[in-house]
Amino acid sequence: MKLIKAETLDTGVNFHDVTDVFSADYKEYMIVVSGLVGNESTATGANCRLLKASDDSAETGTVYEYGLYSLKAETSNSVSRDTDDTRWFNTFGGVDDGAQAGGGVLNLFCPFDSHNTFAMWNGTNHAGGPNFRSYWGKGVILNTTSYSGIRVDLNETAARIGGGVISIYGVC
Amino acid sequence: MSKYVELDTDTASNSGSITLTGITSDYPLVVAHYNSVLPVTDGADLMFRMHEGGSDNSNTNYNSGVAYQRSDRDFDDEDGDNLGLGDRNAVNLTGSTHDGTGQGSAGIIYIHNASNGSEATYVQSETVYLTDGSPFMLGQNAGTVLREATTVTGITLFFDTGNISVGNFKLFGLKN
Repeated sequence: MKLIKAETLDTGVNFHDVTDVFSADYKEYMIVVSGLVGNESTATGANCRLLKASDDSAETGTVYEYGLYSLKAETSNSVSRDTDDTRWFNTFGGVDDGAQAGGGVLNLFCPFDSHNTFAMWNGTNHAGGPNFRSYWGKGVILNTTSYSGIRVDLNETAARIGGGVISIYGVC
Repeated sequence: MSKYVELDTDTASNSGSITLTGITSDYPLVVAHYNSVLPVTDGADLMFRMHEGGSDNSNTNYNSGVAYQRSDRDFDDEDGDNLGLGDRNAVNLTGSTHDGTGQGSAGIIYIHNASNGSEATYVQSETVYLTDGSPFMLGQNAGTVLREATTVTGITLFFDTGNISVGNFKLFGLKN
């Protein structure tokens, strides 16, 4: 396992892009986001999109399939899923309204290759006061697009990143 | 400092099975990674067995609990969304997988306590795959115990019917 890149997330922005980290060198990658906080009192999810190798633009098409368990400390668990969404949800948990840090681990399989990209993730965060969340997801993009980067993307467009670190590892 | 050490690697090419070895007492946790695994036979299930000094353990002593995630419908309210599987001679990593071009399945398998011959072997697995037919995504989270006090030295992956067309496999050990 090799660290490919680690960087501090930009603050005061809704999303953070990391470009040129996926290549033909690895089939599997592990992306770790830690210490993720918001910079205002909006609790929201921390999602991801992939960046196209062709021009570093975000994949915003309805290509993200997923199934997601949402485990909740204060109420019943729930599930969500879709065959044609525009992102994978809660890959890095989310941000709290009280500056308690969240984060997550996303494993990506073959994002750079010209076939399907599989994803598996575990995220966790506080979500509004004492409410605790743990997310457990699987996903796929069923296309032949080559992706070379990743976007950490807060769910609410008004939400802003207040801090955090992203690290991308090549696994094998 | 702990190290994540590559113990074995293999690539399938119309292979009957793939066995990854190298588990010793130096590694209380070993982790198998695989990707781009396609069956020759559409609808085949990817399975594993523990490997013990030259042969696979096919005794009916594998017990598993499985929770599924899927993209085509909710997955917490129907029979079969969560399964208990007892007294099996192998462990499912997938259900019926797609054989189309692309990648049929990928996953990570955490194997605990394998080399300790006086204790059971425990496995956690997370897998994601495309179904046969009109493919959609299924994920599988499972916990498994091999109810035998045996010395496990590796893991063998295979399809329940037909060969492994293609696939990449690696085994890592977390060295204390």
